[in-house]
Amino acid sequence: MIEARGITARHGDNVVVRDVSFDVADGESFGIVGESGSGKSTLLRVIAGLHRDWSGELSVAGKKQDRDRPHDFGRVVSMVFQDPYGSLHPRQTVGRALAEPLIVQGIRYDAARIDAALRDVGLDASHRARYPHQLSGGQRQRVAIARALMLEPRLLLLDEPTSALDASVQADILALLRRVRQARGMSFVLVSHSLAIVEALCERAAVMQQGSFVEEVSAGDLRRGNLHNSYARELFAASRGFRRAF
Amino acid sequence: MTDLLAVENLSVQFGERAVVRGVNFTMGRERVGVVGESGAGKSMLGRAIMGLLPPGASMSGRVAIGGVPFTPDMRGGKSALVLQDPRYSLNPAMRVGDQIAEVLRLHLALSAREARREAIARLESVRIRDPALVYERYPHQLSGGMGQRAMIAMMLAPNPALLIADEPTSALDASVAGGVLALLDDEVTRRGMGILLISHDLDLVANFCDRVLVMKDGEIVEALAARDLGAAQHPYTRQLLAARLRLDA
Amino acid sequence: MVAPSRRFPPLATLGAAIVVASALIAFAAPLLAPYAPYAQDLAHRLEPPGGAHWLGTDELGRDILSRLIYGARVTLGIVALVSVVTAPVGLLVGCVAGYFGGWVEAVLMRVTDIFLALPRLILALAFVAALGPGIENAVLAIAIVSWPPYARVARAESLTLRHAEFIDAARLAGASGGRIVLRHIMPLCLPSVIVRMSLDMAGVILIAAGLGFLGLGAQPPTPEWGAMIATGRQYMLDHWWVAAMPGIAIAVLSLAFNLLGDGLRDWLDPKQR
Repeated sequence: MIEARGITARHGDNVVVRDVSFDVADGESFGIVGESGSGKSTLLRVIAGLHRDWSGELSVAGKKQDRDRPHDFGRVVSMVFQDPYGSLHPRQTVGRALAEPLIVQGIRYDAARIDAALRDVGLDASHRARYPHQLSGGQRQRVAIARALMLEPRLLLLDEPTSALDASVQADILALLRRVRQARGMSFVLVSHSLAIVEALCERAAVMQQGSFVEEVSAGDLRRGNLHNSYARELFAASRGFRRAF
Repeated sequence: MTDLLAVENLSVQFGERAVVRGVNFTMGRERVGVVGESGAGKSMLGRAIMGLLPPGASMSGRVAIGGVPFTPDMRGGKSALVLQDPRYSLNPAMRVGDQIAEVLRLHLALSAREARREAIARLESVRIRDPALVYERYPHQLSGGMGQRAMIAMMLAPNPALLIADEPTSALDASVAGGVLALLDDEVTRRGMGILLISHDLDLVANFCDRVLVMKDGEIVEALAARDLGAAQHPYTRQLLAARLRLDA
Repeated sequence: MVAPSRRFPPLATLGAAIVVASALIAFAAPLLAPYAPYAQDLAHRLEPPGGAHWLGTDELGRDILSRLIYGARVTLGIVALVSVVTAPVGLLVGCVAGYFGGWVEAVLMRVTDIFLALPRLILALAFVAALGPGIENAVLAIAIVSWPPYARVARAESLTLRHAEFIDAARLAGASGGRIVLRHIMPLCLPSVIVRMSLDMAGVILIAAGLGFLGLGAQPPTPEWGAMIATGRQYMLDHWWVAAMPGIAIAVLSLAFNLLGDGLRDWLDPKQR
């Protein structure tokens, strides 16, 4: 699904992603873990075509990608963002937000299609006329996921999709994402600061530090803490939570 | 023995809407955690205890610190508040060290020179490696962890008996958060203070605190010892426990 | 969180009421005016307020109240035309500059700065002098000097929206730059521009009156408030009402627009939600 070779990305004069290479197979879910400033979100935005200042070789779904993406790129790749409050247009109803990708791609649609998309993410037709501020954080994120699925993409990019949500809501959204992937056989690339979330959603993951991948592991090794890099081990220890010293 | 903090029938309202409803609890020089999800009213509880309500909010009920009804001049000296994000809770236009020195001068009646020396010593005591250098920095020049350490140094400067910490580490990376928590842990033990730790993170509260208060919709639905969390009775607490995402689960 | 119900501020309601009343009066001028605005009655020239002429008569014996009522048409007409022309232009320039950034922004905003650097009335005077006196040219001149503030406001709003995640989502779906500006960014900049517009209306009224006063706007015998003050000036000491009545009309309507704009700004301010 993705072949990335020597991706380097800059923000002005700062190199934020350094010579990163990785592959994601069709239907695979790949996680990228790192702390703030590790460059993980920028890497995701390079894949999405939202960050332009990069070099290296990238192909998505077998097609080599430039800085400018083709108009129908949205039919292949879609994205769910971190902040459910910032990722929906505040003056657009849910129905309008879900229709937007179809309108942009010139696809004919009717209300039934929007309702079906809402049902897929555990909402119903009554949410169609609501505005984002009338929804809870979890409901907004469901709408954002529904929007990302409107064009039936093969690859979904997830940027900290649950870190702004309460723990119980987070569990629901993770279950929804797992179900969606299973039903549609999509590929995921998930970016998160939390090893636990990556482990819950991905088969394979990379640990990112200061713009580089320092370790690539399977979910099983991640769960067992079977890590070689010292930074990855430090992250693993920290993610097990605070332990009081007696 | 009088309680360090006694909260009696405390309610906070925004017009008709109650966000804290008749909360009662007391605590001594111990570690008490308040857990709940967003909208549970836990932050508003912490602010109400300090008498720091946002505009439009009104409160009723009684708060006493060391047996004496709370008055605004107890802030700092008797009780202090550490907030989530040091970038917003430190004055952006003032050197970090000067902010700490100002608090010291206010509460401990030190001269300018003594306050400066003491502020550097306090920065050192929160395990900042180069305190003289950090003294001269402005808040935006510090990392999140460093800023939170400076914030803690400032809040602990007047030697309060009670510290209220509202999500002190949720804006920080996990590896940095551990260090800040260990620091808080040490300070609380060494000074024998009471701490009210407000957090959404059940694991954190369970490990850090002796007692846990679980809040939902403005009320305390369950109060229990941290080690008994596994045996919690209230369905909401059980739901929170079940929703935890753990690597070693 | 549920947004608290917000009442429209009372002073702004007063402002809105005056503006609406003025519009109604202008619309129904032929029904309301006791005399024809151009009807001269030299036997009763410069009569003080009272009796048959509530606000007195001018140097040609024309009823000042009737001329004020018809003058509201001219003044509000200018205000309406100017805002119809300037707001969309300013909004478009600002949103395009703010969203696209780079050289597009640099060019558009430097042009805006050039207009902003010169005092509005002076610039309008220069344009009218070049185009020739008259209401149409006055409107054109005022419009040319009035759009830059809207562009500034719209650009500032667009800058904060440029990196919003919902804009990223639209780009990712394949929306073109034009579509994003028109459908996603402009609707969000509109409230600020409307507020700015209602605050600017007072300025537009004053510039229109100023041009009229200087003989570059509406031409006699059109009952334009500024031009009425200009003729009243000669009789100021003995017959104060000739200049004072249109002056009061200008002051009241400008104040009303200011109150309305102030209230709208508070009411639409997202921080108060």
